[in-house]
Amino acid sequence: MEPASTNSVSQSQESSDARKPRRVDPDLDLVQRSRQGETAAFDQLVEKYTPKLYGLVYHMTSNHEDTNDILQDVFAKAYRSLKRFRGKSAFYTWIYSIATNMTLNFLKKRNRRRTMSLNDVDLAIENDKDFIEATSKSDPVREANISELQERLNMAMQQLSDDHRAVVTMFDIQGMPHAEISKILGVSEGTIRSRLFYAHRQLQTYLDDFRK
Amino acid sequence: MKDPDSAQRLVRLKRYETPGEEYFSSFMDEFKDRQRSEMLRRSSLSILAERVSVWFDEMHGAKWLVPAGAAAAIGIGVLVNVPTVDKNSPVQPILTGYAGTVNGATDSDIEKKEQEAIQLALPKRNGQIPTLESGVPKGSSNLLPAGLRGSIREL
Repeated sequence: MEPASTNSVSQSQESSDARKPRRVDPDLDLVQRSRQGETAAFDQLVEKYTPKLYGLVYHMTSNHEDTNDILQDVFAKAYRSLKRFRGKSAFYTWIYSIATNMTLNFLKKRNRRRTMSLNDVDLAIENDKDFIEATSKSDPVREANISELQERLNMAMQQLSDDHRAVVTMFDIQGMPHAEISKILGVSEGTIRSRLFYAHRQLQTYLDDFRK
Repeated sequence: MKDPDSAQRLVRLKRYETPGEEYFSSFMDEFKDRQRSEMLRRSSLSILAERVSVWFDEMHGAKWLVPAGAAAAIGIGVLVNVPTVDKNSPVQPILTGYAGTVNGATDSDIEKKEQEAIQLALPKRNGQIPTLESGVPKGSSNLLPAGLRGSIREL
Protein backbone atom coordinates (compact mmCIF):
# COMPACT_ATOMS: atom_id res chain seq x y z
CA MET A 1 0.00 0.00 0.00
CA GLU A 2 1.27 3.44 -0.85
CA PRO A 3 2.23 5.39 2.26
CA ALA A 4 0.09 8.38 3.03
CA SER A 5 3.16 10.55 3.43
CA THR A 6 3.33 10.70 -0.38
CA ASN A 7 0.04 12.62 -0.42
CA SER A 8 1.61 16.03 -0.53
CA VAL A 9 4.09 14.91 -3.16
CA SER A 10 1.42 13.44 -5.40
CA GLN A 11 -0.78 16.49 -4.98
CA SER A 12 1.99 18.85 -6.03
CA GLN A 13 2.72 16.66 -9.03
CA GLU A 14 -0.90 16.75 -10.17
CA SER A 15 -0.67 19.96 -12.14
CA SER A 16 2.56 18.94 -13.83
CA ASP A 17 1.09 15.51 -14.70
CA ALA A 18 -1.41 17.19 -17.01
CA ARG A 19 1.42 18.64 -19.12
CA LYS A 20 3.32 15.38 -19.43
CA PRO A 21 2.72 13.14 -22.44
CA ARG A 22 0.57 10.08 -21.72
CA ARG A 23 2.65 7.29 -20.22
CA VAL A 24 2.57 3.77 -21.56
CA ASP A 25 0.56 1.43 -19.35
CA PRO A 26 3.12 -0.67 -17.44
CA ASP A 27 0.66 -3.58 -17.43
CA LEU A 28 0.07 -3.56 -21.18
CA ASP A 29 2.12 -6.68 -21.88
CA LEU A 30 0.48 -8.68 -19.09
CA VAL A 31 -2.95 -7.51 -20.20
CA GLN A 32 -2.36 -8.53 -23.82
CA ARG A 33 -1.05 -11.93 -22.79
CA SER A 34 -4.04 -12.41 -20.49
CA ARG A 35 -6.39 -11.54 -23.33
CA GLN A 36 -4.78 -14.25 -25.41
CA GLY A 37 -5.67 -16.78 -22.74
CA GLU A 38 -2.43 -16.90 -20.76
CA THR A 39 -3.75 -17.40 -17.24
CA ALA A 40 -0.28 -17.05 -15.70
CA ALA A 41 -0.13 -13.46 -16.98
CA PHE A 42 -3.45 -12.65 -15.36
CA ASP A 43 -2.26 -14.29 -12.14
CA GLN A 44 0.61 -11.80 -12.10
CA LEU A 45 -1.84 -8.93 -12.40
CA VAL A 46 -3.91 -10.37 -9.55
CA GLU A 47 -0.81 -10.74 -7.40
CA LYS A 48 0.24 -7.18 -8.15
CA TYR A 49 -3.09 -5.52 -7.41
CA THR A 50 -4.50 -7.64 -4.60
CA PRO A 51 -2.91 -5.65 -1.71
CA LYS A 52 -3.98 -2.28 -3.16
CA LEU A 53 -7.51 -3.39 -3.99
CA TYR A 54 -7.79 -5.20 -0.67
CA GLY A 55 -7.05 -1.90 1.07
CA LEU A 56 -9.65 -0.07 -1.00
CA VAL A 57 -12.43 -2.58 -0.33
CA TYR A 58 -11.51 -3.26 3.30
CA HIS A 59 -11.47 0.41 4.32
CA MET A 60 -14.82 0.90 2.62
CA THR A 61 -16.48 -2.14 4.25
CA SER A 62 -14.54 -2.50 7.54
CA ASN A 63 -15.07 -6.23 7.13
CA HIS A 64 -12.38 -8.72 6.19
CA GLU A 65 -14.68 -11.55 5.03
CA ASP A 66 -16.78 -9.24 2.86
CA THR A 67 -13.58 -7.84 1.39
CA ASN A 68 -12.33 -11.29 0.50
CA ASP A 69 -15.60 -12.20 -1.26
CA ILE A 70 -15.83 -8.90 -3.12
CA LEU A 71 -12.21 -9.12 -4.23
CA GLN A 72 -12.65 -12.63 -5.62
CA ASP A 73 -15.65 -11.36 -7.59
CA VAL A 74 -13.72 -8.31 -8.77
CA PHE A 75 -10.90 -10.37 -10.28
CA ALA A 76 -13.29 -12.92 -11.75
CA LYS A 77 -15.26 -10.10 -13.39
CA ALA A 78 -12.09 -8.41 -14.60
CA TYR A 79 -10.93 -11.66 -16.20
CA ARG A 80 -14.25 -12.15 -17.97
CA SER A 81 -14.37 -8.50 -19.10
CA LEU A 82 -10.76 -8.30 -20.20
CA LYS A 83 -11.71 -8.68 -23.86
CA ARG A 84 -13.73 -5.47 -23.56
CA PHE A 85 -10.81 -3.54 -22.06
CA ARG A 86 -9.78 -1.12 -24.83
CA GLY A 87 -6.76 0.38 -23.10
CA LYS A 88 -8.25 3.90 -23.12
CA SER A 89 -7.26 4.11 -19.47
CA ALA A 90 -4.52 2.31 -17.58
CA PHE A 91 -5.34 -1.20 -16.41
CA TYR A 92 -4.81 0.09 -12.87
CA THR A 93 -7.58 2.69 -13.29
CA TRP A 94 -9.86 0.18 -14.99
CA ILE A 95 -9.61 -2.50 -12.29
CA TYR A 96 -9.89 0.13 -9.56
CA SER A 97 -13.15 1.29 -11.15
CA ILE A 98 -14.50 -2.25 -11.18
CA ALA A 99 -13.56 -2.74 -7.52
CA THR A 100 -15.05 0.61 -6.47
CA ASN A 101 -18.33 0.04 -8.32
CA MET A 102 -18.71 -3.50 -7.02
CA THR A 103 -18.02 -2.36 -3.46
CA LEU A 104 -20.48 0.52 -3.72
CA ASN A 105 -23.12 -1.89 -5.06
CA PHE A 106 -22.40 -4.29 -2.22
CA LEU A 107 -22.74 -1.50 0.36
CA LYS A 108 -26.08 -0.42 -1.12
CA LYS A 109 -27.40 -3.95 -0.69
CA ARG A 110 -25.93 -4.27 2.79
CA ASN A 111 -27.74 -1.07 3.85
CA ARG A 112 -27.45 -0.44 7.58
CA ARG A 113 -26.40 -3.98 8.49
CA ARG A 114 -22.90 -3.02 9.50
CA THR A 115 -20.89 -5.73 11.14
CA MET A 116 -17.24 -4.95 11.49
CA SER A 117 -14.61 -7.64 11.18
CA LEU A 118 -11.32 -5.87 11.60
CA ASN A 119 -7.79 -6.98 10.83
CA ASP A 120 -5.01 -6.85 13.37
CA VAL A 121 -3.11 -3.61 13.42
CA ASP A 122 0.51 -3.82 12.36
CA LEU A 123 2.67 -3.07 15.39
CA ALA A 124 4.71 -0.67 13.30
CA ILE A 125 1.97 1.81 14.18
CA GLU A 126 3.62 2.29 17.56
CA ASN A 127 6.44 4.16 15.89
CA ASP A 128 4.15 6.39 13.88
CA LYS A 129 4.34 10.02 14.92
CA ASP A 130 0.60 10.57 14.49
CA PHE A 131 -0.24 7.54 16.60
CA ILE A 132 2.11 8.62 19.40
CA GLU A 133 0.55 12.08 19.36
CA ALA A 134 -2.97 10.72 19.40
CA THR A 135 -2.38 8.35 22.31
CA SER A 136 0.16 10.20 24.43
CA LYS A 137 -2.44 11.74 26.71
CA SER A 138 -4.71 8.74 26.77
CA ASP A 139 -4.59 5.43 28.58
CA PRO A 140 -0.96 4.42 29.18
CA VAL A 141 -1.67 0.82 28.17
CA ARG A 142 -0.63 1.06 24.53
CA GLU A 143 -2.28 -2.18 23.29
CA ALA A 144 -5.68 -1.11 24.59
CA ASN A 145 -5.29 2.23 22.89
CA ILE A 146 -4.53 0.66 19.55
CA SER A 147 -7.73 -1.36 19.50
CA GLU A 148 -9.72 1.55 20.89
CA LEU A 149 -8.40 3.90 18.26
CA GLN A 150 -8.93 1.29 15.55
CA GLU A 151 -12.55 0.83 16.51
CA ARG A 152 -13.18 4.56 16.68
CA LEU A 153 -11.57 5.13 13.31
CA ASN A 154 -13.65 2.42 11.69
CA MET A 155 -16.83 3.66 13.32
CA ALA A 156 -16.07 7.17 12.11
CA MET A 157 -15.47 5.88 8.59
CA GLN A 158 -18.75 3.98 8.63
CA GLN A 159 -20.59 7.17 9.60
CA LEU A 160 -19.61 8.70 6.27
CA SER A 161 -21.71 8.18 3.17
CA ASP A 162 -20.44 5.47 0.81
CA ASP A 163 -19.26 8.03 -1.75
CA HIS A 164 -17.43 10.09 0.85
CA ARG A 165 -15.82 6.98 2.33
CA ALA A 166 -14.57 5.91 -1.08
CA VAL A 167 -12.88 9.27 -1.59
CA VAL A 168 -11.35 9.35 1.90
CA THR A 169 -10.05 5.80 1.43
CA MET A 170 -8.38 6.59 -1.87
CA PHE A 171 -7.03 10.02 -0.93
CA ASP A 172 -6.15 9.85 2.77
CA ILE A 173 -5.41 6.18 3.32
CA GLN A 174 -4.09 5.12 -0.07
CA GLY A 175 -2.48 8.42 -1.01
CA MET A 176 -3.94 8.70 -4.50
CA PRO A 177 -4.02 12.10 -6.26
CA HIS A 178 -7.29 13.88 -7.03
CA ALA A 179 -6.89 13.36 -10.77
CA GLU A 180 -6.58 9.60 -10.42
CA ILE A 181 -9.61 9.38 -8.10
CA SER A 182 -11.68 11.46 -10.50
CA LYS A 183 -10.82 9.07 -13.36
CA ILE A 184 -11.73 6.03 -11.29
CA LEU A 185 -15.03 7.42 -10.03
CA GLY A 186 -15.88 9.20 -13.29
CA VAL A 187 -16.53 12.56 -11.60
CA SER A 188 -14.73 15.89 -11.81
CA GLU A 189 -11.78 16.80 -9.62
CA GLY A 190 -13.92 19.58 -8.14
CA THR A 191 -16.42 16.98 -6.95
CA ILE A 192 -13.60 14.97 -5.38
CA ARG A 193 -12.31 18.04 -3.52
CA SER A 194 -15.81 18.92 -2.37
CA ARG A 195 -16.48 15.39 -1.11
CA LEU A 196 -13.17 15.42 0.74
CA PHE A 197 -13.95 18.75 2.35
CA TYR A 198 -17.27 17.56 3.75
CA ALA A 199 -15.91 14.14 4.73
CA HIS A 200 -13.00 15.72 6.65
CA ARG A 201 -15.37 18.03 8.45
CA GLN A 202 -17.49 15.07 9.54
CA LEU A 203 -14.43 13.09 10.62
CA GLN A 204 -13.24 15.99 12.76
CA THR A 205 -16.49 15.78 14.69
CA TYR A 206 -16.46 12.01 15.10
CA LEU A 207 -12.81 11.86 16.19
CA ASP A 208 -12.84 14.97 18.33
CA ASP A 209 -11.53 13.35 21.51
CA PHE A 210 -8.50 11.90 19.74
CA ARG A 211 -7.57 15.13 18.01
CA LYS A 212 -4.83 17.37 19.33
CA MET B 1 -7.43 25.34 18.87
CA LYS B 2 -7.32 21.87 17.38
CA ASP B 3 -5.36 21.14 14.24
CA PRO B 4 -7.88 20.92 11.34
CA ASP B 5 -5.75 18.27 9.63
CA SER B 6 -5.55 16.00 12.67
CA ALA B 7 -8.61 13.98 11.63
CA GLN B 8 -6.98 13.25 8.28
CA ARG B 9 -3.76 12.19 9.99
CA LEU B 10 -5.69 9.87 12.29
CA VAL B 11 -7.57 8.28 9.41
CA ARG B 12 -4.25 7.63 7.68
CA LEU B 13 -3.36 5.32 10.57
CA LYS B 14 -5.88 2.87 9.15
CA ARG B 15 -3.25 1.79 6.64
CA TYR B 16 -1.67 -0.25 9.44
CA GLU B 17 -4.72 -2.53 9.42
CA THR B 18 -3.51 -5.33 7.19
CA PRO B 19 -4.43 -9.00 6.90
CA GLY B 20 -0.80 -10.16 6.75
CA GLU B 21 1.28 -11.59 3.94
CA GLU B 22 0.00 -15.16 4.36
CA TYR B 23 -3.51 -13.97 3.57
CA PHE B 24 -2.44 -12.70 0.15
CA SER B 25 -0.83 -16.00 -0.82
CA SER B 26 -3.94 -17.95 0.25
CA PHE B 27 -6.11 -15.44 -1.63
CA MET B 28 -4.10 -16.14 -4.75
CA ASP B 29 -4.55 -19.91 -4.36
CA GLU B 30 -8.28 -19.46 -3.83
CA PHE B 31 -8.53 -17.30 -6.91
CA LYS B 32 -6.62 -19.77 -9.07
CA ASP B 33 -8.86 -22.66 -7.91
CA ARG B 34 -11.94 -20.64 -8.65
CA GLN B 35 -10.70 -19.50 -12.04
CA ARG B 36 -9.72 -23.01 -13.13
CA SER B 37 -13.03 -24.53 -12.05
CA GLU B 38 -14.90 -21.77 -13.87
CA MET B 39 -12.89 -22.48 -17.01
CA LEU B 40 -13.65 -26.18 -16.79
CA ARG B 41 -17.35 -25.47 -16.52
CA ARG B 42 -17.35 -23.46 -19.74
CA SER B 43 -17.75 -25.36 -22.96
CA SER B 44 -14.87 -25.51 -25.41
CA LEU B 45 -17.12 -23.82 -27.98
CA SER B 46 -17.58 -20.71 -25.82
CA ILE B 47 -13.83 -20.54 -25.21
CA LEU B 48 -13.22 -20.77 -28.97
CA ALA B 49 -15.80 -18.02 -29.59
CA GLU B 50 -14.09 -15.83 -27.00
CA ARG B 51 -10.66 -16.38 -28.57
CA VAL B 52 -12.02 -15.53 -32.03
CA SER B 53 -13.65 -12.35 -30.75
CA VAL B 54 -10.40 -11.33 -29.01
CA TRP B 55 -8.51 -11.98 -32.25
CA PHE B 56 -10.92 -9.75 -34.17
CA ASP B 57 -10.73 -7.11 -31.44
CA GLU B 58 -6.98 -6.97 -31.74
CA MET B 59 -7.20 -6.27 -35.47
CA HIS B 60 -7.64 -2.54 -34.98
CA GLY B 61 -9.20 -0.72 -37.91
CA ALA B 62 -10.39 -3.91 -39.57
CA LYS B 63 -13.74 -4.17 -37.85
CA TRP B 64 -15.50 -4.55 -41.20
CA LEU B 65 -13.91 -8.00 -41.35
CA VAL B 66 -16.38 -9.32 -38.79
CA PRO B 67 -19.59 -8.79 -40.81
CA ALA B 68 -17.73 -9.43 -44.08
CA GLY B 69 -16.39 -12.72 -42.78
CA ALA B 70 -19.79 -13.73 -41.47
CA ALA B 71 -21.42 -12.85 -44.82
CA ALA B 72 -18.75 -14.76 -46.74
CA ALA B 73 -19.22 -17.80 -44.50
CA ILE B 74 -22.98 -17.72 -45.03
CA GLY B 75 -22.52 -17.26 -48.78
CA ILE B 76 -20.13 -20.19 -49.04
CA GLY B 77 -22.45 -22.30 -46.92
CA VAL B 78 -25.39 -21.55 -49.21
CA LEU B 79 -23.39 -22.31 -52.37
CA VAL B 80 -22.17 -25.61 -50.99
CA ASN B 81 -25.57 -26.75 -49.73
CA VAL B 82 -27.91 -25.71 -52.57
CA PRO B 83 -28.39 -28.75 -54.86
CA THR B 84 -28.12 -28.34 -58.64
CA VAL B 85 -31.39 -28.94 -60.53
CA ASP B 86 -31.19 -31.86 -62.92
CA LYS B 87 -34.54 -32.37 -64.68
CA ASN B 88 -33.59 -35.89 -65.72
CA SER B 89 -32.76 -36.91 -62.22
CA PRO B 90 -35.42 -39.05 -60.55
CA VAL B 91 -34.69 -37.36 -57.26
CA GLN B 92 -35.90 -33.74 -57.32
CA PRO B 93 -34.62 -31.14 -54.87
CA ILE B 94 -36.96 -30.51 -52.00
CA LEU B 95 -37.42 -26.81 -52.79
CA THR B 96 -38.52 -27.43 -56.39
CA GLY B 97 -40.95 -30.10 -55.36
CA TYR B 98 -42.43 -27.86 -52.69
CA ALA B 99 -42.91 -24.90 -55.01
CA GLY B 100 -44.62 -27.11 -57.57
CA THR B 101 -47.21 -28.41 -55.19
CA VAL B 102 -48.34 -25.20 -53.50
CA ASN B 103 -52.08 -24.92 -54.25
CA GLY B 104 -51.59 -27.42 -57.01
CA ALA B 105 -49.71 -24.92 -59.20
CA THR B 106 -46.97 -26.05 -61.57
CA ASP B 107 -43.75 -24.21 -62.46
CA SER B 108 -45.15 -22.95 -65.77
CA ASP B 109 -48.28 -21.57 -64.04
CA ILE B 110 -46.13 -19.63 -61.65
CA GLU B 111 -43.99 -18.21 -64.48
CA LYS B 112 -47.12 -17.04 -66.37
CA LYS B 113 -48.52 -15.35 -63.30
CA GLU B 114 -45.21 -13.62 -62.67
CA GLN B 115 -45.11 -12.29 -66.24
CA GLU B 116 -48.69 -11.02 -65.95
CA ALA B 117 -47.86 -9.33 -62.70
CA ILE B 118 -44.86 -7.59 -64.27
CA GLN B 119 -46.88 -6.39 -67.25
CA LEU B 120 -49.64 -5.07 -65.05
CA ALA B 121 -47.15 -3.21 -62.95
CA LEU B 122 -45.65 -1.28 -65.90
CA PRO B 123 -47.17 2.13 -66.61
CA LYS B 124 -49.16 1.83 -69.79
CA ARG B 125 -50.18 4.82 -71.91
CA ASN B 126 -51.15 4.82 -75.55
CA GLY B 127 -47.74 3.46 -76.49
CA GLN B 128 -46.95 6.38 -78.83
CA ILE B 129 -44.24 8.99 -78.55
CA PRO B 130 -45.82 12.43 -78.92
CA THR B 131 -45.04 14.04 -82.27
CA LEU B 132 -45.64 17.52 -83.69
CA GLU B 133 -48.72 16.19 -85.49
CA SER B 134 -50.27 14.45 -82.58
CA GLY B 135 -49.35 17.29 -80.22
CA VAL B 136 -49.27 16.99 -76.51
CA PRO B 137 -51.89 14.51 -75.31
CA LYS B 138 -54.82 15.94 -73.44
CA GLY B 139 -54.40 16.07 -69.74
CA SER B 140 -50.60 15.78 -69.94
CA SER B 141 -49.87 19.49 -70.30
CA ASN B 142 -49.26 19.84 -66.60
CA LEU B 143 -46.73 17.02 -66.46
CA LEU B 144 -43.75 19.05 -67.68
CA PRO B 145 -42.63 22.62 -67.14
CA ALA B 146 -43.48 25.02 -69.94
CA GLY B 147 -39.86 25.35 -71.19
CA LEU B 148 -39.41 21.62 -71.48
CA ARG B 149 -42.66 21.14 -73.34
CA GLY B 150 -41.34 23.33 -76.16
CA SER B 151 -38.13 21.37 -76.50
CA ILE B 152 -40.04 18.09 -76.80
CA ARG B 153 -42.08 19.53 -79.64
CA GLU B 154 -38.90 20.56 -81.44
CA LEU B 155 -37.64 16.98 -81.32
